[in-house]
Amino acid sequence: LKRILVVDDSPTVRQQVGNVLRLAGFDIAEAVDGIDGAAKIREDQSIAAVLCDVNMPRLNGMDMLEEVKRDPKNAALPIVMLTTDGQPEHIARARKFGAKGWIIKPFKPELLVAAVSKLVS
Amino acid sequence: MKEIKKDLDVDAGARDGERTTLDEIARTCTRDLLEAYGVAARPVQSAGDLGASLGFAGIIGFTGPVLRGTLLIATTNATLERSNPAPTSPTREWMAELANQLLGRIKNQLLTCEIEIHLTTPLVLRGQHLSIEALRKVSPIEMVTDEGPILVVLETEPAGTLALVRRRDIQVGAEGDSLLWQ
Repeated sequence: LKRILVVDDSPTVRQQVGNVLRLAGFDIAEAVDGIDGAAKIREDQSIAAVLCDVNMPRLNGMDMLEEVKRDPKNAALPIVMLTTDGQPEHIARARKFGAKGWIIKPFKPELLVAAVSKLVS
Repeated sequence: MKEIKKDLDVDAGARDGERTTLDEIARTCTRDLLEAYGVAARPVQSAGDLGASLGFAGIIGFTGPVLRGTLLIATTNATLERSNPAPTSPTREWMAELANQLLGRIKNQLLTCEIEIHLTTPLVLRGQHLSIEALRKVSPIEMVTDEGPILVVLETEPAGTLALVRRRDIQVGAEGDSLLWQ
């Protein structure tokens, strides 16, 4: 099973995303904020893709993305931002830092599964 | 908790037209957000005795160069349980995320008026017979679902005179959008 890391401070969102992706055949790991997410990526080499919220306490998703992508080992790791934020400047910034996508909540389950499947294929 | 009271005249800079626009944005965003989670919310002139059933309130602040303030959404346990996309997740957590997603939608609408805001993290209140008192210039937006009332307050404090003019040339990401890059 491909392992997907879900980084979100909301347990509801982590559970919702996890339920959708598990049903589609993925294995799920969870992180509660950007610091936790960056640590899990460092420790777990089996993570195939990351879904990451933007607005989180301690370390937000944009800063986590920048930190993770600074490490050349993570250059090929697909990271998609999953957020309520639709601000074009933020979307462009995420792309510049190496994100592979931007999904705006509430997400459509079928689109989420399609996006993740494409990223890890 | 019996009452939540505020006495500040926080909306002194928002003119009537802008206040109406802010309320309309908040009302539309609330309706659309709940609809996305399978709950139909209808506007009402007065939802009656709100305090009889409001059990949760989500509160989230925002800041920005021209506008700052606080959003409050209060509703019933039944409405939250019905809309919760992760049924085994605690209701308080869903209340927090609902407030976050509502303000996210409002933020995206304000961006089309060239107003940028930054969200704080949400706070949740749980109680019995919650009573939300209207501010002097901000009346609560009242809606109902089949599971009970919803009350939304968008309290704003503009830096100077607020002008809400939508620009059609500003393209903001919409809820449900999925962008993938090579």
